[in-house]
Amino acid sequence: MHELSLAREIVAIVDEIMLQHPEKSLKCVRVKVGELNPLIPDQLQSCYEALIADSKLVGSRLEIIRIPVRAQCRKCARDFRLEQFSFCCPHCESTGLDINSGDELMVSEVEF
Amino acid sequence: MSVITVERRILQKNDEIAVANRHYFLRNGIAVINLLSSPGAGKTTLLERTLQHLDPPTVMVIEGDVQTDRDAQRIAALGFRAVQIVTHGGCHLDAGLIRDAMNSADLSGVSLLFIENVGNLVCPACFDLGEDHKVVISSTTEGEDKPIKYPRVFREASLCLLNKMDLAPVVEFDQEAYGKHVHAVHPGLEIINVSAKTGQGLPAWVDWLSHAQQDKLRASR
Ligand SMILES: Nc1nc2c(ncn2[C@@H]2O[C@H](COP(=O)(O)OP(=O)(O)OP(=O)(O)O)[C@@H](O)[C@H]2O)c(=O)[nH]1
Ligand SMILES: [Mg+2]
Ligand SMILES: [Zn+2]
Repeated sequence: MHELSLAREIVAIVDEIMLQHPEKSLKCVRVKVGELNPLIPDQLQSCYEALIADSKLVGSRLEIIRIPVRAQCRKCARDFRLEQFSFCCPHCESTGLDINSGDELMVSEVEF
Repeated sequence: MSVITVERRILQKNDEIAVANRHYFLRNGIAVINLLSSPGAGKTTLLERTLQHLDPPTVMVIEGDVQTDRDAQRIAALGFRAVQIVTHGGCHLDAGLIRDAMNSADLSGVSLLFIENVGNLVCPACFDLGEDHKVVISSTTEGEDKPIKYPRVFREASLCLLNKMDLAPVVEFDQEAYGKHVHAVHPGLEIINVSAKTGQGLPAWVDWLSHAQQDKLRASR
């Protein structure tokens, strides 16, 4: 369950940020998760909830923003959303692609 | 209400340790191969077979398992240095576990390090260990569709080994379909057909390893 490891890292990052804002109470943590990452959002969610129960983060919610995989074809230069992990241009069938999004795994922002 | 922009990678800490590991391996001219597969695809058996072609003082193996040190014992029985990492339920190795294992191991004379990751095609793919290459192993008994079910690990691999070729006829393995699936997620990825049982494909794999070692030596000079 790597969701647990990821949730721990998220909590550690947010903990650090909260040290700089001790007077505030945390409402929401937004994370960006690219669809290339094999991750089950519900599991990340429940791990987060379990971890914050006895912490400064208690009462906050985790918002998971899924980022679709987008690529640009090097041959025909078209930009498209990659479906089904088929790394091939749907217009010209070329396999020379630049992946522009979908790799993200980051804490994007926190809301107090 | 106030919003603070963070934009920090969740795995930043792991990735920083992985960078340090990679520096260490480069300075010492050690080629590092991270072996990934589902449970029972044959990582340890294939390693045992591979080691028959290699020189004990130059090779070390790190074994990652959820429980037991059985795999490290299998390697040590062949006269090779082996370190066992037991993750106690953890589904993957991370860079910190590798760093700790290196700190407690004697690496003198080692130029090739195998890391057998925990048997799992999902989680280990996300964690950089500081390796040079991820090598994904699938076996004919798992069916042809593993690459499209677990695309991330096939995308990140430098090489794909298809093991248990001796059983391909028995399970009516469709090699063409498998190749198509591999190349849908990773165009051009090299596939070597092997059998840890009969030794099929071992020379090509050992050859690939020796190229990886030479590349690393050159880079470390
Ligand atoms: N017929 C056949 N059996 C194999 C081959 N390679 C491995 N096996 C068998 O598959 C089983 C699992 O092999 P292991 O090498 O332990 O697999 P592993 O990937 O290391 O497993 P974990 O470490 O538990 O994830 C054993 O019974 C092996 O004898 C092969 O090429 N052909
Ligand atoms: Mg094993
Ligand atoms: Zn195109």
